[in-house]
Amino acid sequence: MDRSAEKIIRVSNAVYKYNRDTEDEVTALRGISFEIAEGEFVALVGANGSGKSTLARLLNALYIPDEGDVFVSGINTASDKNEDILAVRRTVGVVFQNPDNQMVASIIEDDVAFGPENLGLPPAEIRERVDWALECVGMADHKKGTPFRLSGGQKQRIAIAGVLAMRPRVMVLDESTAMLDPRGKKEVMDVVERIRSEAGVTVIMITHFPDEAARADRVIALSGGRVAMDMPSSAALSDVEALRSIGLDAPLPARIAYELRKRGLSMPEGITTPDGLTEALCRIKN
Amino acid sequence: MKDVVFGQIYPVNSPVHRADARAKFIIMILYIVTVIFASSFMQMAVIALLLLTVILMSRIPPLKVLSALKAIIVLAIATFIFTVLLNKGEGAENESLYLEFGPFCICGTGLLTGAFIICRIVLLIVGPTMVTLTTTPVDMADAIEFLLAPLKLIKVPVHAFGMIMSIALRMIPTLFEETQRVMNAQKARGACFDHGNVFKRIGALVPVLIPLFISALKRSADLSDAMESRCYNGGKGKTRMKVLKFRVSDILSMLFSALLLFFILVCVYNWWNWGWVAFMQMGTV
Repeated sequence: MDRSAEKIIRVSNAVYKYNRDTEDEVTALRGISFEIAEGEFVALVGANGSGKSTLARLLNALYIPDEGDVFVSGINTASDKNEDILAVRRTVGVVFQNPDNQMVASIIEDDVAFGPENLGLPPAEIRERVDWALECVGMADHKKGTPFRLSGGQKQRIAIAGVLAMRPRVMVLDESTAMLDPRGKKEVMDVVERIRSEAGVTVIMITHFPDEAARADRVIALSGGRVAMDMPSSAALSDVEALRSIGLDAPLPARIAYELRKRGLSMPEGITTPDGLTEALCRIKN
Repeated sequence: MKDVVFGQIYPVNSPVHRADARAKFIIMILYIVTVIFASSFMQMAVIALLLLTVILMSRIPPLKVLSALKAIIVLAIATFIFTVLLNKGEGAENESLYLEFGPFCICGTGLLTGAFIICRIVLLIVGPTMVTLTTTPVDMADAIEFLLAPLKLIKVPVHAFGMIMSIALRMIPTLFEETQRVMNAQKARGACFDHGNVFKRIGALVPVLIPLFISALKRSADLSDAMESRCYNGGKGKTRMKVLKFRVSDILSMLFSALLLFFILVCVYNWWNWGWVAFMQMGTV
């Protein structure tokens, strides 16, 4: 197959079961298919137990699908060649939920260097990448320090730097803001957006906060291990009823617009942000 | 959190911090042997003085270093008490002070030996603490991997040893925080950790250890996922950002440590019957 024409991520009919062939078998994914092109910003939403985090691990070859396939820039993650698996992991970097559980070293720059060191790069290049990655997430001042006294948002930015230093083409954020306070969330989201615009990294953000999903271009919603929605984020997030049916709340502005519309006010479709709502309301007044 | 010293680096810039981790390990081993051989208070004083010089050079507040001793205070006191009680000295006739009760006794020799053993324990703890206070876990893992390299010949997973130690050190503050959290959660539900006798208090810790253990397992599963996803491959083809390099100062320090060991051995055994050795044998126990 011609690799240049291949989407960076292609999931076709993926099925994944935990504890396969035992009494406790749980099917987490029941046949998922989608494609993601390079440069997209996709939010993957779903209620607890919808299979979001399982999917993140499939994209990184941590799990191999029981049925169906996952292709990362044309490489099947089920490949049994070690080089293929490493190539997949070099392309797709994952930032996990708990920053404390993904730090390997007790000095910040050593932790960020862990990935590039595993890639076998020469020391000078590792140093350069570590400095660049810490600069990107705005933590360059802390590089000789220890992560223990930092805030959750700062720790998570270091975890992002650790993935960034491997220069991945795709970054998966697996509920990376779930444990942070609003300020930490904003710090991390700003960094993600900067990485996307400056380094051109494809971002897949797994979240159950609809407000965060509103920053993405496209929303894929999972429900019960299946894809329930796959559309541009404004369309997906303003569909209050569809989101409610899969156990999610639409962003507050979308819900307000929905309730106003139900009471007979004419509101345009696709409102997901406070700005959009304000604009629509002002237009009514005039 | 603030009290944890064991295994944690104190990140400042000093000659001791910059020294090669392998050199520090070798010096530590020579130092431990030296402390064990030393047999008089005078020799202990010489070692302690040199250790103090290293502490001052490292720019770590000496109190911070000494707080490492908190962890072993019970052990030190217990050792002292047993040494004093069980040491019979030279018998009741030759001792200036002699109290006997049952199988135990307190005598001058016993007290002196007890004090000597406390000095030895303190020196044995403070020295290695200086290594962990001034060396990053990653450097330490590399040093261990380097020093154990000969074992690779008999297929010992040397890289894994280094990695395990480095991660264990990295996890100490995290697990400590977790312990506090579990204890607080149980206090909120009416558990008591500061009432009753020793046995009751120890019993109250069991319900703390179980959730702690489970969460440590969960953390290690998460960590292994994170490491794998960052291309960790058991250390195959791994390079280093900071390559360890022996410098002249490292080699000189190692030579000096070896010399110190030799000096102490001369002081203890006095092979050549030098007169000044008697001075160094003052306070022999």
